Amino acid sequence: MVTIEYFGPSKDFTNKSIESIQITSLLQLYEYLEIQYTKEFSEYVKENCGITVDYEYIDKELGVEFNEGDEICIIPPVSSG
Amino acid sequence: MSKSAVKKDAIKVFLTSSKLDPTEGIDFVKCEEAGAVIMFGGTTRNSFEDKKVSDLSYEAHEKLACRSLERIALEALDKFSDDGKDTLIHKVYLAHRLGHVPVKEESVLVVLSSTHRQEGWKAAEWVLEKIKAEAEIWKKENYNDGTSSWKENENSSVHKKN
Repeated sequence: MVTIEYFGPSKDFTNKSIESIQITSLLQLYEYLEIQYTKEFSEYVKENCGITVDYEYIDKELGVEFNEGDEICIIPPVSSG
Repeated sequence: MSKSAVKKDAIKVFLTSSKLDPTEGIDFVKCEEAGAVIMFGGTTRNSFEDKKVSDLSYEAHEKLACRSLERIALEALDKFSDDGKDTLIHKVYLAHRLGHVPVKEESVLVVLSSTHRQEGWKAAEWVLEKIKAEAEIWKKENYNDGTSSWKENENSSVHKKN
């Protein structure tokens, strides 16, 4: 299982800030988000959001594999200030 | 003291749910070698397009946001030095408020001291734009009609990060 934390506007899609799910890759994450929420949200994460694994940003272009216990964060476009 | 330890003493960055205090920032950055103190405060405006804004609310990924603020502050010390010879930016103080920020109150403070005013102005603007592009903080505008809207900064670059 991995933990997914949702921040900012991404929580409007999920109505939750955190969950644990059984996935092992970035591709599976996108599939999960599409099935569980909407295709729109999966596309939003893929195209617009940063994704961190254990607090380090990943390169979404690469085929990323997740390990048991990984903490994943969905980082939408930011708006400080 | 190592160079990196000295640099870390020259910066103060934090997130808080309390009201921001520009005077604290100014007092932190003032030093004998500096001829200029630059202070920017981003404050809540009462309108967005034709809608009346009641307040702004902010949330953050605190660990990532603090790390970003620290990185930006340290980069400012180096970037605006005189080819590494003279220290031109002496101290940097960055603070961002979380939770509700009423109209006229500051959500973000960028305060720094510089040898001369030229590099001070440039560095402060650069720092603010970097914060707005990279700090893992999100703003929601809350309107008088009871609706609200998440914002996105035009220069947000988190989706390109790796």
